Amino acid sequence: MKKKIKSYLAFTSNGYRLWGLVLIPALLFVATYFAFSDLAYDHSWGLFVGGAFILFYEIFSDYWLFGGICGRQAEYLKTSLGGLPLLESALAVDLMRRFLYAMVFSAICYTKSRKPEAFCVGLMIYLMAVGMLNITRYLPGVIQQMMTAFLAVVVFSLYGAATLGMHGGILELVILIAAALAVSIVTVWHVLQRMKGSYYEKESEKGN
Amino acid sequence: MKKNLKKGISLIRYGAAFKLNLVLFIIMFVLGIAFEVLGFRAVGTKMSLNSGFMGIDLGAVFLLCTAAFPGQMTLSVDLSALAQTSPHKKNIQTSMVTKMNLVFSLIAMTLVVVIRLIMCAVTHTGITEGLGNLWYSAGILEFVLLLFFAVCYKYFIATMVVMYLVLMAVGWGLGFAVGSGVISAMTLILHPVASLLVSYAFLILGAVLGNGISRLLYQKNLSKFAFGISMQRTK
Repeated sequence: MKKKIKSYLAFTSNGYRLWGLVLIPALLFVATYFAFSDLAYDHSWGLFVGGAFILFYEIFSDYWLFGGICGRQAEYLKTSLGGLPLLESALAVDLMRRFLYAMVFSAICYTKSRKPEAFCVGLMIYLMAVGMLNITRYLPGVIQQMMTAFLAVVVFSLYGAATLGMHGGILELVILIAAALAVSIVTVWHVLQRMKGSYYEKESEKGN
Repeated sequence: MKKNLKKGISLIRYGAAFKLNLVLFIIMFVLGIAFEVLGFRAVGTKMSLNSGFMGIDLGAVFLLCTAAFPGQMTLSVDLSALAQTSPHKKNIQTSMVTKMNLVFSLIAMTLVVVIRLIMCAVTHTGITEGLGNLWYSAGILEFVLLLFFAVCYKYFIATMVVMYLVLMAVGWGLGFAVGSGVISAMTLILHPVASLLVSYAFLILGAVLGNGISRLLYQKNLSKFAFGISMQRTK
């Protein structure tokens, strides 16, 4: 485990660690505690409003870290046998970190509002963020990433608005956990396939 | 102005990942129009994309962000060593990009206004209700976005942080205040002509400031975070 965390830290710059892992999430969690969870107490859609911000942050910040990694090939880590395992560890720890932050959001909302749907919404945030990451890791620019993050937020909010008050069942929780596991495995596998394919130049340089 | 603009537009197809960007541009443009049309509701309702769920008109934001695509594509030409040998290398990053941003943003904003007017006519809403909130749901954000696009390629991290803060403050603050009734949506509504003028004023101000800032920051290297791993070369 320690080795995996070390691999993850090898990918992250100081700026990302300070702003992306500590300060911005702290700001979001403070806002959740003081504002969104109160909204959640009164109206369920408060959970989705807070969730929308967390979702935007998760997708947009990923650009900093693994942006464009599935696109035209990155040339690093290929001179060593330890390169791919390093990448795999970093990806896995990144997903674990996202899950943890989503659960912290749910926990804060739950402590104040006592609504079990907080955990469902947290899992939905995780699912949506990781699902979109499969797409955004192909994107070559800042604007595209930002707009995809906005798009995810819109879809999430519309879904939340359409299904208000229908969340919180045990069955739903089980389904969401299973889906989260499946999506996580697929995401890591997806990036590694692209990296392995680049050894054989699977993707021709067609001016993509 | 025209010469730089024409040159900038002719450089778009030489930008990085042109076909992918073109496809994304078309998808986002269509989605933007769809959100603007489908999300249109009169100002009084609480949860509509138009009137201020999160205080921002997401359809308009989509269209206005789409307007910055051509600028980014032209900017990516400047990443290449060949462009760096040209006498226009400074122009590419400063004049061409900001002028393209200005022109395309004006077109996008006009498109937003036209769509809203059509939706007002179709749904029989008053023009005051339909356009009156444009200044805060799209105008302020466009100002912030234009400044963001001018700075983000140089100071990616700092601008991202500031953008989060502004998004949260403007978007959530307004949305929360309106949604919970602290500020009535009606008090933020301006006369439609005033709202239009304010929005366009924000846009032009943002473009002018963006131009100035990009000139000031020209000497700084392009931030390597801003172009993703796929665009970084091993050196």
